[in-house]
Amino acid sequence: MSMTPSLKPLALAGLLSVVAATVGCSDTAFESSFVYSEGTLSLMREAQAGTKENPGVKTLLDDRFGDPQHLKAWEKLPIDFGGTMTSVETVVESGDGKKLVILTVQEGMALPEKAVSVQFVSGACSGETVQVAKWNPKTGEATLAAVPGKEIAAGDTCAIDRGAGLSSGRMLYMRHCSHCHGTTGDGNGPTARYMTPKPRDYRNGIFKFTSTNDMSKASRSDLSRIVKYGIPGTYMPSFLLMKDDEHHAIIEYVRFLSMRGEYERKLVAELSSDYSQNAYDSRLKSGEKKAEIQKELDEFLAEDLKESAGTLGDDLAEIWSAADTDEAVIVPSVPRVPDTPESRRHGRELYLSKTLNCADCHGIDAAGNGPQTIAFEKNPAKSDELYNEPGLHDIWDNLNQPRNLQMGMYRGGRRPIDLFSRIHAGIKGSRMPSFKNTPHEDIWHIVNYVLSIPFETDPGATGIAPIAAESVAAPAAVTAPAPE
Amino acid sequence: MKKFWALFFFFWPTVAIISCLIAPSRGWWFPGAPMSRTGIQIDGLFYLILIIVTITFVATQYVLAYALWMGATKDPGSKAFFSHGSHKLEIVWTIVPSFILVFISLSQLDVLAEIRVISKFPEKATKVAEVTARQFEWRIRYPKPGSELTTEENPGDLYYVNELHVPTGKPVIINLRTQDVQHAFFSPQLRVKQDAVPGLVIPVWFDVLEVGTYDLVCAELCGWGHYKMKARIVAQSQGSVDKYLKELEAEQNEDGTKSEAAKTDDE
Amino acid sequence: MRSFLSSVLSKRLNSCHREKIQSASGMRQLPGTLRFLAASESGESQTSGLTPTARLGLRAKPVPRNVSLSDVNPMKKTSVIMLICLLAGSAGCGGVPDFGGGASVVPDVTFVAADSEAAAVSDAPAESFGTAASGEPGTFTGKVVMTGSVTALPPLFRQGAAIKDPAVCAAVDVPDERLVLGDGNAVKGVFVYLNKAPKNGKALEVPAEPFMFDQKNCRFFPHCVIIPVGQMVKVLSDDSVAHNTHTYPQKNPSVNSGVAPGDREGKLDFTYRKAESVPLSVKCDYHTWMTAYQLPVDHPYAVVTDENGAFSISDLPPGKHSFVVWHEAADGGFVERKFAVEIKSGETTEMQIDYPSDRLKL
Repeated sequence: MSMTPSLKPLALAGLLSVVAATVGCSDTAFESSFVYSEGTLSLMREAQAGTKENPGVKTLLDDRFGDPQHLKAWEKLPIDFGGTMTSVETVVESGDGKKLVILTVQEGMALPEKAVSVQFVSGACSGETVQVAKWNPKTGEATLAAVPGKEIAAGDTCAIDRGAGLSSGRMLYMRHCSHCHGTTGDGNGPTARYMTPKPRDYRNGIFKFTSTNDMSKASRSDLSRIVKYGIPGTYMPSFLLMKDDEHHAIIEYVRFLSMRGEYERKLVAELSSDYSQNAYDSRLKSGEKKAEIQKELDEFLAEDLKESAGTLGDDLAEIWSAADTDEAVIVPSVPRVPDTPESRRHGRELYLSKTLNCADCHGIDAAGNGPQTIAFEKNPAKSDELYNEPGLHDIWDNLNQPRNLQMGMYRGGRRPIDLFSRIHAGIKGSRMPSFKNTPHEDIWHIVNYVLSIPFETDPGATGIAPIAAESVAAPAAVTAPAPE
Repeated sequence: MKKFWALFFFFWPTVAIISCLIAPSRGWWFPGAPMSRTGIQIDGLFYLILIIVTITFVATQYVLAYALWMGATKDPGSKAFFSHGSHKLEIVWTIVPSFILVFISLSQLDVLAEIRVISKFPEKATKVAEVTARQFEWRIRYPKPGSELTTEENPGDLYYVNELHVPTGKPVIINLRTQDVQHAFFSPQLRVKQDAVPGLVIPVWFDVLEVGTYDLVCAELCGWGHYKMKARIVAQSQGSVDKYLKELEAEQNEDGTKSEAAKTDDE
Repeated sequence: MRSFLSSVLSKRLNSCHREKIQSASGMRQLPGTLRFLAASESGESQTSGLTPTARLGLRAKPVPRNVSLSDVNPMKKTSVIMLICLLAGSAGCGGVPDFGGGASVVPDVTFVAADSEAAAVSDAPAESFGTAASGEPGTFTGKVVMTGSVTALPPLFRQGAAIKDPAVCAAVDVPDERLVLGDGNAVKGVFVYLNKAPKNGKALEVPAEPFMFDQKNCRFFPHCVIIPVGQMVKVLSDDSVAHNTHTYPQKNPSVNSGVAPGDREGKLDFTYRKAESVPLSVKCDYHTWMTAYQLPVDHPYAVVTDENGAFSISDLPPGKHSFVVWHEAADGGFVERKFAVEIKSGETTEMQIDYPSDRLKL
């Protein structure tokens, strides 16, 4: 260095202060952002970003869901964004020009302890948000910090802290959940790489352990159960000690992320067969002109995609709301069959039978090592490419090991109804199919058998002898485990 | 200048003593009164040591302050006193502390034995649950009501997570295990702490005096979630605990067909 | 080493030791340890028993007298300067930088109104024709023929092969249905359909009775089929082994459910609610070679070629139409993305669709 030694620290300090100044002052220095799915990123550029006139996937998504610092609450979605709906009772002009509004709330609801802002929903001031300078929760008196543009009339509906639930849900999610589940809920947070099984990727809208039937989404109570009790055998811990309002906020935010991911997936599904980058390349190769394809895409974005943007939202709203209804819940038609040795034997018979074929995946001695686990499989979603490792895979492309029932560790819950639901609806997203057409009594026999497996002295000891080998043989070169 | 330094080194020990004196009233002290029998004994030992140490501290600091002040206010011209040391003094201040230390170590032996030595556990202590620590929660297994807790799982055992119910007024034992790494079963209010070591089943006993809900936290760094690895210990009367276990049993045998429970709603 | 230390220590306790240290030139500034080692420099006899490192210590250069503050404590000065600059930088920008992001940022929430767009207009195709301007509907018929050299595929498994459940699944030869050729290399099982319902097209008639989707000897029947959106599909089984039907749609929810052996009623049923843009595969998870393809459509202009590779689509409104030609064994699935056809009023347009064999990806 040409500088004298005593100037070196000075130069270093100068450089550091410049860096600190730039980084420290930058608004986006430490912002987080939602990632776009692989599907989105594999579309043509114009399909992703859209054109000046017509929005593409990314634009539609950002317009309806925002980014983590500036969230957007799409009212179409069945999410509790937080806030209390109230209506204006009286308006009082206070001395220093500030408006004092007295708010009442519906029957059975309570005024919140704190109020930061008031959004006017109906009336002349509709759409305006005003900060609250002072709030008295007992009387409902809110002193507004600023005067809204128009007149406030008695009877106007307004919401207190609308969106506060989503906002606090996001902050709690970032603190408790995002390091595994990722900012976008893609199951790819910083700690996820060290985990097997991987954390859930919410963006399919599919959650494995539910009490609802196989074609329904997870209900709020299912998500609540998972968050409260954790999933033994995985890295999902229990958040039993979390306060109820925090718990609720996190669940709503998880649903928000899940709906966002699903919405993105549905938008991409509209475009991917004709306008993915691969499709574009193969179309160019087969002789179509670039300009033609662009024109076609423009038309599609202008007409079809814009139209779908609303209907896809409606679909989402419909299926997610349906999950919280009673019709979606699995209710066995008969109470649980008494847990007798005969029932367990019958369960074992059913387990081994060709009607249900449980042993194919779960193995003859229920150790999760059936013949399906050693075959190499093709991925139907990726044009039948072979998976890298043998065995079953779930829709998240993770290795889906059938449960080793000898361990007595039941991820979705160990109550009989939980096991019943697993069998009846299958495990959504995984290779456990639903057996909803099996008589419920038979399912109970199997449940009784499964609950007894960890305590068997020998595999199958509570049941009859297993069925002969060749009916559970694996294809080609793989040999099945010999029964005893 | 010298006087300043003398006062400086006298000031801080004084601050320390005053802080200790006002600490209990400001809540900088124990996490609440001890809620278990051994907790009272442990607190007693703590106070014993505290008193001994305080006396020693005050005495030595006073002597130091005195020497500093004397040195500071001495006439600059006067000659320093050179001492060749005092053999007798050295013997005294070696023997006396060692006696004190031996006294301390002997006086805590019985409490240590009561807590740690299995043969010294109270005879009437009953095994109520097996607590398995795992990253980052506490899994609880109660024996089937009416049966004994064994180290193996038995059909009919009841399972829960992050909430341990124990009866008050009698010594209870929990078997502490861990599924993955080292954790520690630490209840500050009950003054119970025991490391959970992978591969071992360690019995931990305590006798809760009062009904209440106490914290159970992890006290051995076990990963990123160590700081929030909390659970509740709910101490109730034996009757309430039995009732709770019955409810847990009913919940665990839930088959979804009872009309009000069919919705499996826990919110 | 021990003897060296003890000699040093004994010298230390010597009362005249201090004068010795002070007399050594320039030694006053040395830190303590060096002073120990340097002390024995005056006693030459000590050096012989020293380790090399200890000797190095003895050879430490004495610090020159004319030292200045900045050289003695360079680190201190730098850190003070850096601290001042950092604070200045941040103060200049108005406050300590907002570290952390993530959970420490309170997000703001903007509400987006539920769109007032009406429910799908695209589900139901446009008004049926009667608009005079178009004219009479026409028909599009033809054949899909494979061009280039191609050989028929051998069966997947021969009768009696050692596959899963051979008594049922290998009771007869299992054909490879990926490419089924007829006379003159006509291709069976090619989907020919319009991507979108045409304007002035005929409305889709959804049959009231369900569609029976069967499986026998571990094969799905039919292998390729068009299903109108809204028609119930019942899954039957004529086998004595369990199957499970797993669909892989893009826009509809997936179905994955077991089918009991010998189920002739079709206890498993499902209905497609949305049209798909490409046929979706239906597989059995137990018998992984079992595949079928279904295309849910929301208009009647979709067919699958028969064993002669022939197809016929009628009631097409006159004008230019662009058909998708899709086959499971084609690379990427599409044989033709836009097969242009001109339909004249009241006439039948017959064309042959060439399926080059180099498009095959088996």
